[in-house]
Amino acid sequence: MSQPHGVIHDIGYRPFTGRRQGTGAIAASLYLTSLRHCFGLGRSGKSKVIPFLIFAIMLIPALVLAGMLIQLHKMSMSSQADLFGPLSNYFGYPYWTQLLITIFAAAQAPVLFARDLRYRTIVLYFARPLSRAVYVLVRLGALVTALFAIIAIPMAIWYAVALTAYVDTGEQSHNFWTAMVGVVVLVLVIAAFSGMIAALTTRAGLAVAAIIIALMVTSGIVTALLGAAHGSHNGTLGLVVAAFNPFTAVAQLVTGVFTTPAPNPDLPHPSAAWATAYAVIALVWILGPVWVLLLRIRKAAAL
Amino acid sequence: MAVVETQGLIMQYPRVRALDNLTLVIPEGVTGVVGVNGAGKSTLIKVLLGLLRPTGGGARVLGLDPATHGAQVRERVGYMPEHDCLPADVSAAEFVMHMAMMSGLPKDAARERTSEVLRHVGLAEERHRLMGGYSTGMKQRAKLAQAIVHSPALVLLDEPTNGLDPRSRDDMLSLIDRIGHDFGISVAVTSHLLGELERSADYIIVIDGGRLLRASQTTELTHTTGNVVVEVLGPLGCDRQVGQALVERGVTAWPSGSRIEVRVDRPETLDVIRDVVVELGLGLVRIQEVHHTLEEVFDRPAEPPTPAVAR
Repeated sequence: MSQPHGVIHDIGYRPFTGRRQGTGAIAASLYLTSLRHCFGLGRSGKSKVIPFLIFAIMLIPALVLAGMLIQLHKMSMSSQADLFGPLSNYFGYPYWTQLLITIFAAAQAPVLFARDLRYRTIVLYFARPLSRAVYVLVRLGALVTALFAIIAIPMAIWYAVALTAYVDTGEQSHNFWTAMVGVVVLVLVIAAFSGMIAALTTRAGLAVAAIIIALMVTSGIVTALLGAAHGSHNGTLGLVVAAFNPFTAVAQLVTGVFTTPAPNPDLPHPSAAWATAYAVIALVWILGPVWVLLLRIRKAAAL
Repeated sequence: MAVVETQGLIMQYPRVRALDNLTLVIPEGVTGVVGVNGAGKSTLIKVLLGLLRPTGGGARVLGLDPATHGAQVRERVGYMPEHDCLPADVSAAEFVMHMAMMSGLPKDAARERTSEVLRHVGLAEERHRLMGGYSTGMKQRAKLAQAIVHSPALVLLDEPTNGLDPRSRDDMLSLIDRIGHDFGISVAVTSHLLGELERSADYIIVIDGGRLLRASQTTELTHTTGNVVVEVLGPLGCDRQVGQALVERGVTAWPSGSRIEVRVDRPETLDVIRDVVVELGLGLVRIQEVHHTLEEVFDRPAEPPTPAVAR
């Protein structure tokens, strides 16, 4: 009797005998998956719309500024003088696109922090090698990277064009690299804060609304108060008020520490002491939410 | 060899003592862990996974202390929680593969094992559908798949048959049986239904109030009672006739529903039963050994049922 061809044999269960990866490789795998999920990759088709749309819109102002830089030397001297300030104010870019950045963070933070809590998948992660703290930090790292990418890539294009244009590259470089430091601090704050809100609200829709409201309402109030303080020449009020929104707080940190132009003329220039205070404030903005996030996730570990 | 050993395990919460000097051994194979809600089963699982540091005593899982080697323990242990834990917006194939990688399997191995394990649990065709649309039975299979995908040496199953209809429950029990006996993965399965564990578990542990109440081989608990049940076919009341005839021949017998239960003291008693049925001209449907059920064992642990002689 000959064996018939094309028969599928049930070879039964075989255990895995290969080498298992360490926690470092597992963390890297989680980081990569989380980063992909931030841009809707590996998720449904419609979840790609918001991240890529925001990235595209974020590119527009940077490209316009870059285009103006190329044309700058053809303009009159007075126009050149007027435009040079805005065209080298790199931290003004994340400051004025804060609505887009907020929407991106609001849409993606729940993907990383609310889903696992809502579906209680978190328990399955905790029954695996990664520790709870590493899980939170890796997720946070992915959100930080995604936010940094959508801000820094357009800025880098703008800066690259500036380097080839007929402008003072010294000032451009100084403003760009100091702004980059500011962007790193800013995305750390935004990621930690939106991650915390997402983990606390758990429901994705609610989290999106809560993050946008929390960031935009404080921004509106702070901006209004800054205008009032500027109008009444009350510098101290302006300095205090700016601490209550991530965007103004980090802007003050950057202008104070690196003496770069403020993205908003209403922001009073901080002294060295205030610059130090803003460094502490920025740290509080980062560590406070991270701490709450860790506590929240730890509590959710109840099987 | 024991896969889990605990020694005087104590877990004291501010107001409750969840584990109270718990000393137990879970051997290789399938072990049933029985206990009412709040008996300390989940706390025990958390301690075994290294997620909770016991306030007293110690545990060893696969030879490692989960309090100090949590990551290594979790790498070799699978866990299937009682509650829902599957994201609704991903397919089982994607999810199980991701979970395999989260346990440290390289990508290619994770992919290969995912399809293999999903086939073993019987989720072959549906594996690319979003899990939100799964039935309870399919969800339980997916949960089981993620618990064994990384080829663990021990898998902890928390109430795996909860919410299943009788047929799915049967399937799940056969799966557990295969995992424990064919796949070579030791299984610790909790359930509040003793009858289920009787079928699939080799070993039974009973926990109550955070303490070990009882631990023994299932066969020891459900060993034969030395009685047989006899079913005969014939006119109404024929069972009583048989019972009477048996008693007249000095055999201890008593009615049990429409059947007769007979104490078998000597092997010849079985011949006597056959002869009596033949003499009365009745049909002998079956002679079956009577086993204790686990329920019986736990309801009345000490005293065997006292037979009453039919009159």
